[in-house]
Amino acid sequence: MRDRYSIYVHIPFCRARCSYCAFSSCTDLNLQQRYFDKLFEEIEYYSDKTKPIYTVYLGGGTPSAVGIKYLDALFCKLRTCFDLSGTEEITAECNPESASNAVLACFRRNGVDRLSFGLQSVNDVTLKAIGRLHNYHDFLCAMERARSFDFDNINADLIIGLPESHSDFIHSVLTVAKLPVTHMSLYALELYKASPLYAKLNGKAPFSDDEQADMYDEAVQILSCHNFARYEISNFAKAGKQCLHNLFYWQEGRYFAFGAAASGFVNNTRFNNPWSISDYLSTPVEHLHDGRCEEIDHDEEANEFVMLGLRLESGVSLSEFVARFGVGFWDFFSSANDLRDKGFLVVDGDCVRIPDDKFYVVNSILSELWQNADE
Amino acid sequence: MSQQSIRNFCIIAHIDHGKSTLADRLMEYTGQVAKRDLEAQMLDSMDIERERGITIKLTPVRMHYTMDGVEYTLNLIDTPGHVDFNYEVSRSLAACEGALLVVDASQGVEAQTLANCYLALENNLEIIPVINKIDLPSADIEGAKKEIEDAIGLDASEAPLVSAKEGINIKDVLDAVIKLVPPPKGEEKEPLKALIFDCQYDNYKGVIIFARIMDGAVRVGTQIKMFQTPGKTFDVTEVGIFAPAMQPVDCLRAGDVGYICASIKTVSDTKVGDTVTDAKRPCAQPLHGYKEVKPMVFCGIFPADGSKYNDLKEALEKLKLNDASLTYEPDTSVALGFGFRCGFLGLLHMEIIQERLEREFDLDLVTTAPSVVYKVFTTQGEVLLIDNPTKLPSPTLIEHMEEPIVKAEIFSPPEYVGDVMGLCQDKRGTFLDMTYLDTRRVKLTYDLPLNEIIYNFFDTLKSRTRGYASMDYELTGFTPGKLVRMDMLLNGEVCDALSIIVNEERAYARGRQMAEKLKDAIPRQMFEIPIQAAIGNKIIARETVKALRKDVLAKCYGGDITRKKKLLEKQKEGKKRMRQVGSVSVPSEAFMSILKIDD
Repeated sequence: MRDRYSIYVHIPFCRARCSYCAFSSCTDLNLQQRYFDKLFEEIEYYSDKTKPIYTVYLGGGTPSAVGIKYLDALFCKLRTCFDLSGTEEITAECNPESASNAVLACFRRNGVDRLSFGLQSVNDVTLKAIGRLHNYHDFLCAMERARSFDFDNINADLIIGLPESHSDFIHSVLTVAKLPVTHMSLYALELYKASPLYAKLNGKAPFSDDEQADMYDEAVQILSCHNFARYEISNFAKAGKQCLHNLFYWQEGRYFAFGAAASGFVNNTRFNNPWSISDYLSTPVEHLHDGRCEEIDHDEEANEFVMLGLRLESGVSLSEFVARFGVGFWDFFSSANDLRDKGFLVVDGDCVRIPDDKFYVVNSILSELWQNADE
Repeated sequence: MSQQSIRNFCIIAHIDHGKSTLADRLMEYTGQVAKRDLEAQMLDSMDIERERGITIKLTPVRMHYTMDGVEYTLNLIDTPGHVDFNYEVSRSLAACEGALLVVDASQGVEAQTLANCYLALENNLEIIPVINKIDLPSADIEGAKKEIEDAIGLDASEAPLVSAKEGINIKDVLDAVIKLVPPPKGEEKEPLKALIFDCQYDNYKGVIIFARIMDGAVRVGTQIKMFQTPGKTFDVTEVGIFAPAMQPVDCLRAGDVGYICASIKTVSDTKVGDTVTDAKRPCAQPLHGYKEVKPMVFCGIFPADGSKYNDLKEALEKLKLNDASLTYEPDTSVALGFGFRCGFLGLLHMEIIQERLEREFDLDLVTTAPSVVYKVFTTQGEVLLIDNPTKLPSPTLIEHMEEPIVKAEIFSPPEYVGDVMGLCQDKRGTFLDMTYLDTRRVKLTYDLPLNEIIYNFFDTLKSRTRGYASMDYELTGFTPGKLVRMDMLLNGEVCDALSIIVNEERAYARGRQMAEKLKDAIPRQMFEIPIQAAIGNKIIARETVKALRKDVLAKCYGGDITRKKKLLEKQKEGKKRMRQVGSVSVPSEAFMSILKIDD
């Protein structure tokens, strides 16, 4: 695990900004040339052929929205600078309207084997309201195109808590579960103050936390009936189709990260690149991580290992914990026994995990676990 | 200087009627203080007093003024203006021969003014009405005069008409003081007899006694003693006058107002109202009227951050140096850890101390519900004084209990009389009397249990009368009551810091209100939390904080683990700031929320 590395590349360009988004993105496609020049400089700066790359993930933004020549050049640069010969998964995020035949062909020839679509809802009224450029039909067409390029590992993202009805959301889950997608992600809407949606809704989330929890519970049931197993709080997959890249995050894996706002974990140090594209472009490549680094010591790594591992359905392997940190899980976290007694942790063979009905309060359980870890 | 040329007086005024401004003008007019210094002096006084509109207590001031070719010494002694400090007021008054009654020409006579005015009359002071703020367009000089005559029975026809703010007719006030306030009548040859009307603590000089010399004289080297602290003698190291800064003099004589330092280390050795005399040649009798000031209201004060216990202790020690009426002793609570049980003269005193601890010492506090002292008669025949609900013996050991009763005088415009009576009825009051002071003012007199007044009574009174009513009260005694201890249970466990002693009939309503408040103040947690109010084993109210169902944050954008950790750290820090009651995390605000129960 520790000798494998993944790569995350952030492509911040979008054709339009979604109204709920407060993420680092940019609709000025004229910046592409400068951005990719900088990106390639950064990739070269960190080039390392000695570390075999396990997975690659192109996130955004909208990777499918940029020029094909940049995408071809990006993959070329990655292959020049890193060892991608044994890579097990390459994912690219796409939006339905921009996943053209040309883009899909480009992904295909560059080894992309997993597509992640930002669908968000199958309700066209909702999609329009949140500023998406596609409708549900566009998504179906994009699916057809993807399948024509032999993509058989496809994810669709849905958002819980959009300004639509409870049944609209359930309808989306049911509809997508019946499509030939292999993976689904369900994320709860975060209403950022800076987003246009926040102003539009006067700062009031369309659904309370309790209602969102109900929607989540129902979705979990539906997906389970359609053979989508939850493997992480927000992620559901058909057998063998879990996202290796995401799993790698939860397993405390190491990953390079390139591009504006990208977060990586290399040499026991977590780092973040400058948030805005302009800062990213203006910062010399050797200073990109300055002031945004955190060295992860032994204890902190144990904390993280559990924080991330408990998000997984499988939980944390007790034997792996001992092997990695030289101390038993129950000794390291003094409140763990108490949490188990109260039913907030369960032990399943070698693994400790969060019981099914407590998944949505994992943060409280973690903060309880951490409470005594440093005292 | 002959006593004939000394005048000792004070100023009685309602909040905002211009007492401090008038004092400033008098000092300015007599050339005691330059205008520039005045402001500095004002700024020195306590912010809290100023914000709350309590009369600012100034140090006494000595002024010189010449009338008809004779030079006079005028000593202005200030009085605190609030009911909590009634006793101190009476002692300040006892140090004077006259008082200026300042009445706002646009507002008329107010309740607190009246109460202090009656005190002054009891002390046989010559009262000079002064009508202030005559420059205001809304000034009703004749109305104010009539009120003074009707409500107090003083002749106001000769009252100086002034505007302290504009400096109009200040000379009239000074002339009236000299003409009307009688000179002191002490005997310098008699043994020393001096009244302590205030004291301060100074790090270098020790306790500084503010005294009015009634008989005899005191100088450096005089060995003094106090009547209330027998067996202790002190050698005087400095005597002086307030010019207005402290200025040492050789000797203070009968009729003088000044200060005495005698290397006294503890404020409790010098009690306001006590008599200072010469240890070698004592006077036969102390001045009459000394009362031991006893705290009437108690509460637990705990540091919000348990590690700040020692800071709180030091802060209380420092406050105690200048405030002998504050009492405290160590207290522990299962919920709140180590802290102090503190005693206060009244609610305002309590609030002032709490605010001073927070502002001047930068402490974050958690305070428990205020309590009064109960007399508990046990089946063993003992009488216990209990001011802390957690110290109440088991009901089986209690024969009966008594609670303190106050006589409250509430002044209100006639249109709110119904509301005021309703409130007093709700608070278990017994109606005694109702008097129309004039067409705009009614005085209602009630016996009220003190433990009803300490919860929000003032606020409710003010809100029901649109701020017009005011009140005054004095403790009259104890009366048997059906009193019980009510506990609050969180997830089945008693939270000691939330227990209160309450009248049995009122317990149900109070229990329900407290449970509701706590429900709103306690955040949802991983499990359902029942909140119950109980008397003994009997549950009388219940609310539930539902279990938390969602706290997971959305997408982990591009593997940004650091952000997730920060959110968790924040959650963890938030929890650390909360108190653990069994398995329940209770924020400090929850303890405070029950103090604000609306009726």
